[in-house]
Amino acid sequence: MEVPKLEDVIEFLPRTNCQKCGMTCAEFAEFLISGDLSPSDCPVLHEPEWAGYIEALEEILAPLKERASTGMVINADLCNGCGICVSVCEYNTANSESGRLGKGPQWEEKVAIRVVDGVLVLADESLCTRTTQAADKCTKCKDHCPTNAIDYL
Amino acid sequence: MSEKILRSIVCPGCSCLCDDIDIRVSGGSVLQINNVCSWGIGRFVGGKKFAQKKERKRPEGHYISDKKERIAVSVDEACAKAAHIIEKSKRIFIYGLCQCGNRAQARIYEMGKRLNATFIPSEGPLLTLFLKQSVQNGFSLCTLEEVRNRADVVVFWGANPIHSCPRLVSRYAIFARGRFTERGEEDRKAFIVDLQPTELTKLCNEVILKDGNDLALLKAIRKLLKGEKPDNYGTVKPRHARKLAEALNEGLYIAFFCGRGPFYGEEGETFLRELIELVKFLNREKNCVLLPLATDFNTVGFYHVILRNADVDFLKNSVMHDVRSWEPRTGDVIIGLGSDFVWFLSDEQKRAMKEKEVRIVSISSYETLTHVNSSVALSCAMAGIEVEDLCFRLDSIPVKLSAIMEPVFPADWEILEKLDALL
Repeated sequence: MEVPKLEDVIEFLPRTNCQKCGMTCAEFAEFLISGDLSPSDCPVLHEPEWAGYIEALEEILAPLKERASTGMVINADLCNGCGICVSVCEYNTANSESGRLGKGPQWEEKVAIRVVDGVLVLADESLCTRTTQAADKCTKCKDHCPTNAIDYL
Repeated sequence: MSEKILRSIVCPGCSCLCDDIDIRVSGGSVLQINNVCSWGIGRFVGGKKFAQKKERKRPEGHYISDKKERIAVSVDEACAKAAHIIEKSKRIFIYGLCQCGNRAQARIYEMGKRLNATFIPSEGPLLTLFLKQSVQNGFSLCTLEEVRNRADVVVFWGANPIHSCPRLVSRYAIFARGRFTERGEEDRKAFIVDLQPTELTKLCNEVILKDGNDLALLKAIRKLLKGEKPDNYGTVKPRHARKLAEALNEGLYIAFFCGRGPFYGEEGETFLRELIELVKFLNREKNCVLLPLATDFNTVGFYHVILRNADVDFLKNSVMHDVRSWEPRTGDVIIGLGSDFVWFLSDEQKRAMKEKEVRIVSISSYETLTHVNSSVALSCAMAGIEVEDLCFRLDSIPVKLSAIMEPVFPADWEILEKLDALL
């Protein structure tokens, strides 16, 4: 899964900075990536000469649909299940006894993330500390991932 | 069919032998595996090593290949044919030995010794040099739990655990919290000495050897530790070498994980001797241990078979370090045990094998290139998945592998017992 880049998204916007949507095209692109706006919110793209651009943008932004509410995107093709993220996760460290000792969390243990079938999965995203942090949100799992399989958008 | 969860199963994926694998099974099939890495999942669900989503084909029976035909036969017929080929051969080579249980290793060791065979372990350079040094000089080992509990400096020398033992860093070496390392990575300094930046360089201090001259760096570190100024740092940046020496000086418990990297050059043996000297030097004032970072799950098991038999001359007389130094001759037979040696041969060796009509007897759980091209293909069950066995973790701790599925084929040691009885 390829996470869309800002410049790829801007390329499919009018790039006129007409402000009809109340912002510049670059700002609009940022809101598209954050998921707060959708391509159809751009009034210009509804004009006949821009036909097909909304569909193209939706295709580019499709991988983001897999993003968790915390903004976490896991690239399963890059993840090798090393479990570093599981052992550095703030919630897991505080709540999983076996996790603190380096072992993987046990079957019944409530944890935010765990490795299942060789790939990292969000076990319970409501437990991720990002959901309770207002600013300076935790990115420990992303920062420690040796294969860059985790991203936050 | 009722589902059940099998807890704390040992994973036969790599020499880390993780014992925290939970598996949900129903009938004979695996539904979900928790805490397993991408290497391990390949073993459990029959996927390829670096691409677990691609299916790794299992053989459907035992075969005898005669010219262009591959005939399915019973295990007894295949063993009889294999015994006939081995008896008629002039030289016998046994390749692999690191991806099978300890019972099969012990059995083939006895058989090979009796037949005067040459052994080529798949992890040859690492296994043989460490074994030789442990007999000649001896070095300090410790358990991985000890590394987790106490090590405050960890050095990966010529090793990339993210590829060889993916969970080693999270379970023991860097991130795990232990008795005296309660803050995990914050209580440790980790270094990686390698030819190029690897995945681990993001998490460790890196020391890059541009020309692979490990020996020059070791000598420079020895001098720095003695308070002398080194004349030569090799191609390493002096500040990187000084940083490593400083950490070794300050550390209270140092663990070296040494991979295959430094042993491919001609100076491999000298390097290991020097590294052992460094470990001994550090051990005068603190604790320092050296662990070979084996990749195959039971490399250390074969090492123990040799040690158990106190066979010091074995390495000198019966072991070839690298399969690439084998020159095929007419009358040669290769017994492949749990490995795909044809994959590792050079084109020249493959051509020579065909010309000299070298025969192959393959004992494998997978339909590998070697298994398909063999004169006799004996298919066996997988140790740790379909049959129980014993194997040794990279720190020499014996671990029992359990069986979680019903086997279709006999175990490798059972096949070897049948073959041995015929020879």
